[in-house]
Amino acid sequence: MPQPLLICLDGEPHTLEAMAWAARLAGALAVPLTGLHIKDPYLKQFQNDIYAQGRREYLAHVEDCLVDQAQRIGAEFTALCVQHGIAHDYRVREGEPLQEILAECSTGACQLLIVGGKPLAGFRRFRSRDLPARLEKRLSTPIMIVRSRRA
Amino acid sequence: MKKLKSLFVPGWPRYLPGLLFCMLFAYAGMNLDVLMANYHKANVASEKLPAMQQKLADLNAAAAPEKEIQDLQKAIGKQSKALAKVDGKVGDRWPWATFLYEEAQLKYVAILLLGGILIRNFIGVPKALLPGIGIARPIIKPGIIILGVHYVWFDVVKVGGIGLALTAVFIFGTAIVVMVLCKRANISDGLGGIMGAGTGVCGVSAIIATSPVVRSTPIEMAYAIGTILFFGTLMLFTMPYIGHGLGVSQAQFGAWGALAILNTAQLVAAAEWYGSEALDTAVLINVARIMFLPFVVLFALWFYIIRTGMHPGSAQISKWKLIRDKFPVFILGFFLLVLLNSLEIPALGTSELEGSPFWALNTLQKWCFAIGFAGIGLSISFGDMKQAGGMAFLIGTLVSVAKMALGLGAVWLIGTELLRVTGGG
Repeated sequence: MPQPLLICLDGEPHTLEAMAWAARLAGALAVPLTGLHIKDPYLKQFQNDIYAQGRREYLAHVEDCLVDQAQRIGAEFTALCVQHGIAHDYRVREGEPLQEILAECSTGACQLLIVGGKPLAGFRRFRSRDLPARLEKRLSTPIMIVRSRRA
Repeated sequence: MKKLKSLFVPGWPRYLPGLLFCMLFAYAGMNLDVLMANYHKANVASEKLPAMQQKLADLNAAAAPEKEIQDLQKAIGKQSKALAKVDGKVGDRWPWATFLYEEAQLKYVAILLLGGILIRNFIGVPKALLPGIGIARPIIKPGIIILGVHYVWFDVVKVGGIGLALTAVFIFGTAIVVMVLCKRANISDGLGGIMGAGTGVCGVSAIIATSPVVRSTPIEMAYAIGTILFFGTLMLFTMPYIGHGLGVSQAQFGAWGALAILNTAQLVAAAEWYGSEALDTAVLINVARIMFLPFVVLFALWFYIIRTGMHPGSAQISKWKLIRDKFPVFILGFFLLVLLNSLEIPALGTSELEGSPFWALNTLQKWCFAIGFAGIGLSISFGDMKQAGGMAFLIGTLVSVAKMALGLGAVWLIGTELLRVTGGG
């Protein structure tokens, strides 16, 4: 069984473009495609703000949003894979995206990581956390970055 | 044993390292403040003493009135003490201390905030410390409750009354304008709602209270929180200097900050940095501001859900329950201490009477603030502020500039006296 391609999914437009590329590539190479979504608990840390009221409601709302997002992205990914007739798997991890993607790749369960990226120049480059570039620096697995033409 | 266990937050040991680190950092920051203050005072004394001693000799020679001579001797004694504290003598100079303490205003607040930002963003904070740093910030809250010993009911009625009127105008003015403009600009309800509340009341706290009601998405919350933190931090570091530059009095600055600084933590830090009078006014007006939080959430519920008839289930939410859930109960503790201070109970003393219970509380309050400021500094991450963007950033820019200018105009018109906290003195 050939090792699958791994595509990172966050539901952003540039990632959707990467997902389409990944599906075509997996189809052409006849390898399975694994979708990886990271539930980033980043927003939960703000529950400790000084005058925060209704913390439980806030945490429940953030969790609901993250679960909904993970399900929606999974459904989109599955639909695309079915359309292309590709063997697929969808995984969800929770934590800081960079660390979780590195952890997933470190299991050696993929031959190529595919990530989407926004076009970055000037101030946009300064502001961005540029996850693809950071992954490229730290990964030993080959990586393909699909940079969207749209800002 | 089970009951004893239930008193502890689950996983409490993971908070200890960060909390301990904040306490040590606060201790270091406060001591550095004292050290710089001592050298600054010694520098001033070294400069003033020769002239004072000359004047004393002249007064003695001219057989000036005894009272005048005694006063001058007292002043010389004070300056000599300041010099002796750093083992200095007349002629020694410490201009760096005067520059840092007086001109650059590098008090303990700035040391903790700037030091924290530098550590967080340039050195890095180990993961093990993050949970404790996260809970160090809200330690400011007991500090605010304890600050109640600085006020009497007269202050609450005078300054709090003006604060209530000012904040009502500014909070609802901001919230209504932002929500209506967002609606007209076809900005989503989730973003418009949290930006209206966040820029109107108390920043991130308001976003946390409002986001479940207006059903904001994670990306909208990240944009809004990033924007609020960005402008809160920008104002924290610029407003004290602008205030000094424009000659704004401490009381006026406290009121101005309470109207203009979007986030509570940054407001408390900026006011404490400016001076104790500024802090007293800022906290009292901020308490008035925070009381409006449930009503702003209620307004958002009406504006986005009930009025439009969307999400029929949400319209069934009990308004009373919503107000009760979002009401900041801790301010009752603040008012209890105001009441006790107003009653002038001899056994409790005052915040200035050394050794009395209220004096001890006042000292504890300083520690609460210092640990909280250490937590704030160590939590300010450029990465969080980089999240600011999109329409949230544009709204944040417009509102911040408008509130800063209008707030300054308002406190200028009101004047210092009506905004000054007397503490019964």
